Amino acid sequence: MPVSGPKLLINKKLLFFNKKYLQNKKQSCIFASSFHKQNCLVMQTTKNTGLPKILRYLFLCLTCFGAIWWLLNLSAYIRVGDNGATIRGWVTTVGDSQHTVVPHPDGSGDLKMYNFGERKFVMLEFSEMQGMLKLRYLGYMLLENLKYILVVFGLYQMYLIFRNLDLGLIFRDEQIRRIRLIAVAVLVFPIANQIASRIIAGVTYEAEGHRITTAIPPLLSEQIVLGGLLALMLFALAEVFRSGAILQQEQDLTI
Amino acid sequence: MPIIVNVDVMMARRKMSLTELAAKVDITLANLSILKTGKAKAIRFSTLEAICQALDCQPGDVLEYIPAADNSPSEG
Repeated sequence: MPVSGPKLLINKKLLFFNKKYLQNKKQSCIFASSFHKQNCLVMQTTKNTGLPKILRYLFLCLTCFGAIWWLLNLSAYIRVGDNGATIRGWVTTVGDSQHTVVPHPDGSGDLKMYNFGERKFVMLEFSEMQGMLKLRYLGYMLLENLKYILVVFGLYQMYLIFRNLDLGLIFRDEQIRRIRLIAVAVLVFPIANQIASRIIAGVTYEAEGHRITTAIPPLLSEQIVLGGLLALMLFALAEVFRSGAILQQEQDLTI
Repeated sequence: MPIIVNVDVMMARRKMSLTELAAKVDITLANLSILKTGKAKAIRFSTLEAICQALDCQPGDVLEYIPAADNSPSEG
């Protein structure tokens, strides 16, 4: 359908104004390009690296792997069959009070070796289901499972942190909350381990032709010290992120 | 905050819409809205310069200082 005279004139006028507008826009864009650069600075610094993306998917895989691992172990923990029930887990055993004298390989005297007990992975089998249903064993089983849950939870939080990092959302309140949650998990893990070992202490069982007794581990074990230090570092990191979030908010509200 | 942003007053005087000003200053509507509603914590000189150029005014026309009411109890 052909366009009539007046309409064509209007269209031409519109075209003229559009062209003029575009010219003005181009000029203003050149003038205001510096503001645009400033506004996009935060995004540019976080956009280009591929590391957060790799770590994001790595932690997703680790979370899935951890969850499957826990579920497989859980089935072993609460295995109840015709032969009774089973509990599996790590325990600290009682060491020998006597030391063993071993000749030094260099021939420069004797070595005195003391056994203060060691960590062993044990499987406690109960001939009757009711034997397992005691507060002591149930508590141990719960705490052993709590450790797996904490590991999976921590890995999932790491995945969420790197997902946000990948999306360019770094200094946000939820990131701080996640770092604090990981710090708490890191702190609770060795404490749960310690309590679990204390609950199960005193159980004697036959293994490797010896009678082995579970013992109370030292209060300031390596796990607790390292866990505490790591948790402190993570809490400090959360504080750094909190300051960063305040600066980010100010930056966002600077026009 | 005792600093009042009078961008909306100047826009009304110049009969300019928010979209038009945003296009001229080359900032987003969201940022201009933050500025207009007084939620902004700071304004760059470059942005202020662009706003003044777009609205053909002085920084004093856009920004105004109104002392906050002192609610603290008087001594003595």
